[in-house]
Amino acid sequence: MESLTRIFAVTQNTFRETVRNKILHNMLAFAVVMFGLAWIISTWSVGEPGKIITDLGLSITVLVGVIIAIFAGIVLVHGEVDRRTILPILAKPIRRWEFVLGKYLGFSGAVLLVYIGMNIILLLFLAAIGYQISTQLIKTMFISIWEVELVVALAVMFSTLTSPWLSAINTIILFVAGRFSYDIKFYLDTNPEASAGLVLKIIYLLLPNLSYFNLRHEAVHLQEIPSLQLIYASLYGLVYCAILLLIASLAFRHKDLA
Amino acid sequence: MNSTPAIRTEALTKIYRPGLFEKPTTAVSNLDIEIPEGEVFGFIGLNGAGKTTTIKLLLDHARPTNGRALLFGEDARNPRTRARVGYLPDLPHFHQFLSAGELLDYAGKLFGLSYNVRRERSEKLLKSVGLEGHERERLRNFSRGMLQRLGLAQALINEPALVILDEPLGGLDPIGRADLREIISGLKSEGRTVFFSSHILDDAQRIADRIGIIHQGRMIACGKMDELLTKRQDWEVELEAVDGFDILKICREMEWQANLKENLFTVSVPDEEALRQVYTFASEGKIRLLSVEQRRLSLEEAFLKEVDQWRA
Ligand SMILES: Nc1ncnc2c1ncn2[C@@H]1O[C@H](COP(=O)(O)OP(=O)(O)OP(=O)(O)O)[C@@H](O)[C@H]1O
Ligand SMILES: [Mg+2]
Repeated sequence: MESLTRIFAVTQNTFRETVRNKILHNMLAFAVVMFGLAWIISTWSVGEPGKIITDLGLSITVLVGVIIAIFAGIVLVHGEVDRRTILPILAKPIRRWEFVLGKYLGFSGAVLLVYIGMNIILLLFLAAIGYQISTQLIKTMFISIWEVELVVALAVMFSTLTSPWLSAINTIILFVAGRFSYDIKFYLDTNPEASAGLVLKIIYLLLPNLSYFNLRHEAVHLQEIPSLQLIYASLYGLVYCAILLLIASLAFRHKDLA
Repeated sequence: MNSTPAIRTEALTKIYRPGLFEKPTTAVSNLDIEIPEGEVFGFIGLNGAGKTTTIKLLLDHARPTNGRALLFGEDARNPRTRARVGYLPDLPHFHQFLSAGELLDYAGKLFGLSYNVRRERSEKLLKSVGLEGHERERLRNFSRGMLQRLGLAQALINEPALVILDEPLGGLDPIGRADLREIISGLKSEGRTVFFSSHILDDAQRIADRIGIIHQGRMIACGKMDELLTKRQDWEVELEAVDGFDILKICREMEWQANLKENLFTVSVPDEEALRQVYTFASEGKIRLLSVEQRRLSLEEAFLKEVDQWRA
């Protein structure tokens, strides 16, 4: 109970910090501008404007969400250590893991708020041009939250371990690799005798499989999305984030604060 | 009175190993401190002596390489010990995006204080550190001294039994210093223990019941201010030589400092035994004593002397 109070105090403070962060405001404005551009492009193209805006818009929201997650996330814990704001905090009866978890929850809460906000703006945009909002689109938006959440967890984990630059590079590499992890599986499935098969298989299993969370194609072409798939993907995202946070907490447990 | 000391360290040692190819630094070495409850303890040392490192070990900001630190009899690595501790960092860095009131509220929440208690104490503390009316101001706009004052306020939000202050006088103007001294004596009168570090000896002399001098990670002297000073008492003797008695030669042999001015010798006599010797010369008629004055070393001198002695 006391533990929850402390975690929540850190969460609340971090949420406040993040919503006052300029990166967030700028990226939100950037997303709106990009939606406008997507609309202009859609009027020039041959396809159905609603589909084109859906396609581009879903990419924009994820991209903006991921950029916020990376660039605000990489300094989340490291910044507190570096600027020494962490010293008076950890001089209080809070455990290290409570601090890490609180930081993560507060930050991911703020990012989530912005992310959901962007998706609502996108939906309003689509409604405004008279496009029929499908359940597939809503499901796709919901499941894409996990992609952003996972990048948040990656950035937070790296920010407890290393400097912002290394964190940024590592997170970006893992994000890109995670997006292509399906291709590794595809390669393995089509070349069962591949020489580095085992290594690739391990890499495939360790990498965050972000393709689970990317249902843009289904949303645009109104294909069926089984509810069970949503549940599996969410569970996968939840477990993956939990493991990342566990690693972060363990690494931070006995770390000397400079 | 409770017999468990507020702070106790046992052979506390911290060696920093920055990199594979860099030389390790021994920041704290075999430190044994014992500070009873209710004491104001001044932890004095030059820059880089190991004061901040010791404090980090007390708060589990860093782990000892060897030995251990106990707060109220419990290992300092246990987060629970910090429920009764207040801490002011050496350089006050707080979240810039917060206001003074928000920072104190955050600090209070980490101690599990209720809303009403947090409000009440924030108000009281802001007043006592002279930041009344700045509650809603963002810390971004705070001066160094104001941050230092706020740092003290957040350190006291849990009404701690033990207050650990790292360089509490840094960045404070004369009024701020006087305020701080008042706050510390207030804490003492409430029976709280205060452990503060400083390299400003004058302040330590005024505030502390007992001081410890740390040099290159080792405690080289520790005791009541009076003890530390009386140990270093010496006498200043003014005398005239009689019948060409070679007092200068004696001084040289005994390694006493002596000055000659118009037949008048001023001799620094280091201890009582030496003083007895001087009296013997006088009774033998070799010298005429004009004055004998006991001189107390200032803490500054005592400190430098300890450091010198330790180096030798
Ligand atoms: N994180 C660290 N890594 C490596 N060496 C360190 C670290 N922190 C302190 N040191 C070294 O340990 C020694 C003691 O430093 P410490 O900060 O404890 O001194 P201090 O007494 O607080 O000095 P000051 O009066 O300047 O604040 C110094 O030689 C310092 O260089
Ligand atoms: Mg220091």
